[in-house]
Amino acid sequence: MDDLYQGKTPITEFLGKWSDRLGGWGLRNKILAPTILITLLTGLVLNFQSSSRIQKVLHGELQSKGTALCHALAANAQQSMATQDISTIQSHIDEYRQTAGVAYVYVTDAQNKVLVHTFSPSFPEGLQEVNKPAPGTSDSQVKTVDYMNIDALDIATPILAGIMGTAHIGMDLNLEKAQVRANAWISFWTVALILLLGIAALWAVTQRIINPILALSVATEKIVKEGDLSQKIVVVSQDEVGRLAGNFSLMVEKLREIPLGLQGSVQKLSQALSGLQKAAEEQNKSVTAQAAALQETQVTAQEIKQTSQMAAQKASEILQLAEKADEIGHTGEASVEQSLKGLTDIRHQVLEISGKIGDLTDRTRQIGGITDTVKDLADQSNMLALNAAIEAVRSGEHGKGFGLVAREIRRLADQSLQSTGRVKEILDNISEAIDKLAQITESGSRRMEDGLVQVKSSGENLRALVGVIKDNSASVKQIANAVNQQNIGISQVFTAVKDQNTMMEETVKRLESTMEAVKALQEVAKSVSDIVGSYKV
Amino acid sequence: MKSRFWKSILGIITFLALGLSARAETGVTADEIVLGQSAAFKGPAAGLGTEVWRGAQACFDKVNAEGGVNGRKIRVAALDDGYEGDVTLPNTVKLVTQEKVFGLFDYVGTPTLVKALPAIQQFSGDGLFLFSAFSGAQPQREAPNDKFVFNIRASYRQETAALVKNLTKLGLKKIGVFIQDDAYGRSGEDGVVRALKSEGLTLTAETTYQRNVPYETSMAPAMGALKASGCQAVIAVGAYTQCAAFIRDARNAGWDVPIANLSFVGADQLLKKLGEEGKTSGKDMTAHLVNSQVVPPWTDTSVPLVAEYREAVDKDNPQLPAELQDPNYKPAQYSFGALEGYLDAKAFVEILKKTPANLTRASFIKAAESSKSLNVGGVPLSFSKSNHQASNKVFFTTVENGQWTSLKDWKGLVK
Repeated sequence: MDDLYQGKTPITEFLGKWSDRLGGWGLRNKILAPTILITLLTGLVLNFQSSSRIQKVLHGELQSKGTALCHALAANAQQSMATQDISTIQSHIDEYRQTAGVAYVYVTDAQNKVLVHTFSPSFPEGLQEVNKPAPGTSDSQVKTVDYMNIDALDIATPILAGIMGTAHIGMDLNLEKAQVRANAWISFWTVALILLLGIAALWAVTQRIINPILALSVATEKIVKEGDLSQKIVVVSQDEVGRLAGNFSLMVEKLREIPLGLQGSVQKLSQALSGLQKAAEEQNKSVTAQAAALQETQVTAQEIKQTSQMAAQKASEILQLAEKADEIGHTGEASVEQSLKGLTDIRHQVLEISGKIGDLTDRTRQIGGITDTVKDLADQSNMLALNAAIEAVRSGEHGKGFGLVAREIRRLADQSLQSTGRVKEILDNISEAIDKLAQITESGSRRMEDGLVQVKSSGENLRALVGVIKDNSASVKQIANAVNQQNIGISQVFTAVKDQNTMMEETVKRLESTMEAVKALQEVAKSVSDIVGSYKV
Repeated sequence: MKSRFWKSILGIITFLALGLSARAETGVTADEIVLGQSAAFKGPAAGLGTEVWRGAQACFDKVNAEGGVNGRKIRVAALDDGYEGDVTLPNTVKLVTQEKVFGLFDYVGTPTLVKALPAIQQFSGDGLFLFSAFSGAQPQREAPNDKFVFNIRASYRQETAALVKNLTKLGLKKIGVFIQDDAYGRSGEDGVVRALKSEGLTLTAETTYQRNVPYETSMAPAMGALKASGCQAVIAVGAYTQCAAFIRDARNAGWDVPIANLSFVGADQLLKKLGEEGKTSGKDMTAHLVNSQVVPPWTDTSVPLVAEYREAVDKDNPQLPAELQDPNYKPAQYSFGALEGYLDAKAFVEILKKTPANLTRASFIKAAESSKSLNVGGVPLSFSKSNHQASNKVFFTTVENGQWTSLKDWKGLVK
């Protein structure tokens, strides 16, 4: 069914082509063309119908008239032929010929010889043979005659059943045709007149329809091309077109209100956006500053980490040295015992110890310096963490995690400070001990030179020294542990700072997208403003 | 007592007779007799009616001038029918019922008279009659019309029979006719056909023309048809305008066969037309023409009737009342038509003279029917109860020196 309905046949294609072509026509042509077509068709059909009907009626009239005349003529002729001469019959046929529609009259005798006729200059030879009623009938015989320029309806009435002759009357078919033609012309001109009047009337009517539509079209075009909503459309008519124009006017009124309202909204939006932009810019500034601070924190934390690692390394080195010293103490004790046998070697060894002690003093002093540095770093970390906490508070929800980290950093920094204090105290003790050791070693060595006796005391002293070194080694171990712990804390601080930095980067990114959104909104507001500006209101 | 009784009876009869005679006949008063005439005074055949009227009027004027007949002067109430029968009929009724004429007189033409005859027949119950008609056709010579129509002139049959007889004598056996397409033409043709039949011949060709067509109408088709059929002579049964046109076209085509015309044609008007035509074309249009006539040529003053007619016309020269005159027709001083009119009037006057003073239609008819021999001076006239055609005389004329004269030698026609 659908295939059939939608299928393209030559007819539908043709119709489609024509309707496309007609689609390009103006309203007036669309109204006029079918009207003219229908009127013409109606006129033609009516003309044809009336012509054929009139012809039929006329033909019938002509025939009945001719038959009546011919009957009368035959009756007259019968009387005249019986009693009068031929001129009397001629005088009868003269009378009949004057009747409208009669083309000719003639009378033949029983031998079908023409007696009288109305032809001039002469009777058409052979015409009497065209319509010859059979002998013995009284009825008229009708025949259409088209003979030697004669176009007539020949009615033949036998006179006295044909024994006296036949009366013929020819009814003029040209007259009939002329009347049909005249009728055709009259109806043609009538249709033409009606058509002209109809076209004039339709013209006037379509003018009244098209003019307002044209006005509307022009107004619409102005709105489309120039955005001119300020124009007024005046249409007087009360019909559908008038109503359309009135509604169109109202619509333009309403349209005018839209850009006006939009204009206000856009202005408000622009203000809000510029406020938002300012706020975003400020936030950006502060976040940027915060990020820079964090960056610095990170760098510093890195440094602290490295320093802490170094401290840990040094501490382990010290520990090794302390262990070595312990070992050396033991070895020294054995050596003292051996020194009894070889004092000279001892003297060399004492001198060596003295030198080593000097180095140890230097190292201890160095450790003290490092510890000071670690203390400073811890102080600074503390300060930074405090700052970070403040910023975190300012960052709001995003800064919450960061705040926790900052607090943790502060705690670690505090612990670092305490440990560093203790390291310093121990170091001070070591320093003191080393100083004492140095003095003892010096006096021992001086005494070594004096004698062997003193070696024994030296051995005892050495034993004491080994004990001290043992204590010293324990302290150094503690220092190393503390430094390691500090190192771990500092690593945690660093990780936290790194995390915070990452989070800060995300915040900056989010701020950037906020800015972009603000920018896009500004563009939207601008384009809406442009659109509104393109309308004249 | 007896004689007184009879005296008184006689007195009553006399009184009644006087009383009856005092009741005047229609159209008759103590000093006037009114006749009615319908004729062609206007139109292409104006010359026919005008001339007949002028001739008759010349005669009546002469008689009236002499005091009339029995103290009664004769007046003709004339109406124009333009040579159309459809007018002749109402004219006749008008003359009888309104003009209340005594009798009808000198109707002109066959188709016109044929239309009027039934009406005249109707009125003949009151004794109405038609005295003479300028037509030789048969209808008014045959029953029932021959009872109330008195013809003076010879018939067309007699004219055509005489023409055919003389033409065939010349060896011209192929005769065609050129006829007016009406009762007149057909009557003439009928005469020709009958005459040819008696000679054992048939009509070679028949052509017609429409009554009253103007002189400018070309008759060449008819002429051509006759020529093509091999006619050696043509008998024209028409009126002067169309016969002149026929002769013009025949002679212009170089066809010079004898052309015969009947008395009705209006010979003088025909000659006048041909004379004018000959002047413009430079050709002799009057050669080989023969006209049959029912009166002697008016040029022959040796005939007493002609002399009397001419004298009367010279003295009187009557003219139609202005309302009946055709502006295009100028009457001739003398003409065959007028001579015939004069003859008709004279015959009427002669019969009237024989009628008792107590004039009635019946007494007039009785007087006419008893006129076995009327002397009008040149044409023998005779009526009887059974014969209502006074003359059987046919004259033949031809043109010589521009005038109609008696035809003396038929052979001259074929020279």
